[in-house]
Amino acid sequence: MRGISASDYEQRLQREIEAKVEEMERPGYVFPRRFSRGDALLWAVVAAGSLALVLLGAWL
Amino acid sequence: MRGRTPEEVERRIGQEAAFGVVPVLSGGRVYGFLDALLVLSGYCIATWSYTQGAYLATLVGFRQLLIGAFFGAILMLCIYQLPVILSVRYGIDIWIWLRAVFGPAGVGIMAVVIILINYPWYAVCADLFASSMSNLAALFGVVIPQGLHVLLGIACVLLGTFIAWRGIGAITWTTRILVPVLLAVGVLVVMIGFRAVPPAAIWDYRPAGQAGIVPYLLSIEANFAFVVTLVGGMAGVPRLVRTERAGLWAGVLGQGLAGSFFVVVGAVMAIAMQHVTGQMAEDPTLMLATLAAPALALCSLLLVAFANIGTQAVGAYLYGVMLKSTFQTARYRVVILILAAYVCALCVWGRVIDYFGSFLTIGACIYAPLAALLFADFFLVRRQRIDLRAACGLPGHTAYRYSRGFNWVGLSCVAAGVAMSQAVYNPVTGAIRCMPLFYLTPTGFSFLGTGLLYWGLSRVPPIRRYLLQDRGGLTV
Repeated sequence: MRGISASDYEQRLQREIEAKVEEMERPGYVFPRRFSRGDALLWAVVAAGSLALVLLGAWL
Repeated sequence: MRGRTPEEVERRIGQEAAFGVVPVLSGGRVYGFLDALLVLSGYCIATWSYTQGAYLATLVGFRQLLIGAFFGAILMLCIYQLPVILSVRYGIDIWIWLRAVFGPAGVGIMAVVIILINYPWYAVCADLFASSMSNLAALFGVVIPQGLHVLLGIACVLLGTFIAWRGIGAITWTTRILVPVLLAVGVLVVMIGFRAVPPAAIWDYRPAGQAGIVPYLLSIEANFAFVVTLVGGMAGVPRLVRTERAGLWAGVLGQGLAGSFFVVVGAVMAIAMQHVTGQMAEDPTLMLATLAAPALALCSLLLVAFANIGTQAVGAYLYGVMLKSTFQTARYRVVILILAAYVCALCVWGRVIDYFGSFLTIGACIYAPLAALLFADFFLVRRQRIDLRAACGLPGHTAYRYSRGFNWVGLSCVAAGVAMSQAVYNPVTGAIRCMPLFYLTPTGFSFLGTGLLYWGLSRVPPIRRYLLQDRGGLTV
């Protein structure tokens, strides 16, 4: 990197970002496994359970 | 790092800050759930967890403290960590997404504000270091005058800054040692605490002079505030995680279990000290010096001293890189010197520990609206879709430029969220201004209010058009 000017560096960075975004835009790109309906249910149970315990704590 | 010139350090830091904005593709993810959990746990545990535990013990009994520390924290984490699934999906950190919420220039302002309100944590660390050194000296019969306390605190800041000055190599080694050291201290504190007093003395503990619902609400507020103020530092990890599920739960459990465990350790220590000496202490070294055998106390004190310097170093580095990525022309070493000067000024002031609860709530005044905006923007306004090219600042993609780089709707909502929090509670004087809303806690009310305000504003057609200029550029 020594000897590379700031603007060269910025251009290289933008090329790098663009290449990654283009890769994600390709139809065959596999995104990380999505948050499923089951995950959402687990999330809701944990959040609701924690809220219930916090409310219960007021009476301890 | 030996022989590395300032230019080389600057180049490597610049590279790290700059390449932190490059999206990480699915194949480049390095963390599974367990790895991410360990990294985030390491970030969440620090000696200030003991200060938080001791502070909670002044408000509520041990059982209420356990519920608040674990379930209060997990509740807030479940909500504010949910948008990290976007970070995982697109391989970008939350600061990139925030460009959609505040505009690129607005994100710069928010970064500075966040550092101003977050950095007093490192003055807490420096204060603990000064106490540990005083206790270490006391083991050898040397009494350190109070005036030297400030100088010791400043020494901790300077030593931490020196490590951060050397760059990423020194920081990597520091973190490799720091996390096991902190874990060792935590285990020692629990063992000593439970051996020094009967378990019932801790389990049945109730603070004197605290009754009614207000202390409990204050403790829940402190737990909300404690977890919400770490969002900035945790933002960079989820983009490296392989699945959305792992990204979310690593954040929730890293802080909600590991971080909260250390808060409870601090409370156990404080309660044990009160039982034995009649005086509550937030400083683990004081407890170790008082309750442990001299040889064990000496080793533990050295561990605590190193942990404080290490935490200082990691903080200077993380926030230095964060500022460098926001203000790319700034020099890393100048940035960390400015950060060090800020903490030194707080050490000289010397009142951060006295105002610990206030400082937590002031921090949460900003963080709660920020977390609310992320949540509302992600789920309700943009509905989980973003113009990635505009967010990454690629030429010709200006959907998030808004008004010369500022999204005034987002920034106004943060200001409104701060006002909401202040309308409920004055964190400096401790005065409750509106009891019915205080039941939601200042952080909870500000979070709900800001989220609803932002969502409501997004339903107004001209504002909706202003916010959703990106709909034509949704390519992923």
